[in-house]
Amino acid sequence: MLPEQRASLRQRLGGPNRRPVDQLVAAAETGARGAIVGFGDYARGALGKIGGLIGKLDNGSCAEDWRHLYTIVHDLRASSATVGWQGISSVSASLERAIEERNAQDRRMIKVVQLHHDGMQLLIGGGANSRAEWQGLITQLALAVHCLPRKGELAPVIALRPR
Amino acid sequence: MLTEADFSELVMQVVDDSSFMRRLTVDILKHFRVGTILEAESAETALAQIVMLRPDLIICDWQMYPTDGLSFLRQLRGHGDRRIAQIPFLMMTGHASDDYVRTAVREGANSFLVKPYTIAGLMSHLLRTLQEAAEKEAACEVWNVA
Repeated sequence: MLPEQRASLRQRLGGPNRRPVDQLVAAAETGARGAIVGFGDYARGALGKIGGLIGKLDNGSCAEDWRHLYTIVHDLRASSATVGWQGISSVSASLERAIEERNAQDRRMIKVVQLHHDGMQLLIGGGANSRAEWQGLITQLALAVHCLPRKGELAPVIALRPR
Repeated sequence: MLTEADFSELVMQVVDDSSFMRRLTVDILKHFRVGTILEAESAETALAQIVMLRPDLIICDWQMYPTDGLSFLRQLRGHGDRRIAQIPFLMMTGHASDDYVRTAVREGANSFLVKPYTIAGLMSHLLRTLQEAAEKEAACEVWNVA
């Protein structure tokens, strides 16, 4: 229907086909389960995109590529949490924070992205399925992120005292 | 808050570059019995649809590439056609901080939903946003008649 031909919003919201809101929510909760089934394929596709961007970033860092990577990781974090894949969501959250907070100019940053990518691949492939296993993975990844300087900082220099 | 609703004559638009989240949101809206659902994977496609079909509500993700949801909201609010510029806008995002909420509201978002969201949460935001828009529309009509 063309916008000009529509009744007022109030009239349409209270139209003859109105239903109890609780019923509509319950129907959607049952129906949405079907949509969740395809998440594995979607996550694998997203990992493929991350892999492609790692290759590009390794050949020369570009702010646009980092922004694109961030968008994919952010989406993976939110979508996996929506379907209850907590392991993937936690690894994505770790990578999202690393991109937000750490200095992308540091060459080790690509390695950290690669580690997160490998971790997510492991989880999607069925490895590290238990909560304890993926939490162990998160701890290891956090150590890798911790080695990177924060944005605006220089890489830490280890000062050796002459003996 | 409404306890009954009829969405069958409403047009809603879902803008999200994440095909999974877009499909999920569209699927939920179908179960809410929304009459017409427009899907757009980018702000550019969304704007073209809006000019043609002027949805009653836009549900948009913030973190999109290349044009993000906030830039899209700014484009919309700055549109020359007042009826398009005032379309109710529900911003979805994975960021829950106050800064994000304040920014979205300042730029003209009518509602702000944090992902992962629940279906009841989405319904609650839809109802509140649409009800406010309906009241505003009714008030404008009274003003025009007077």
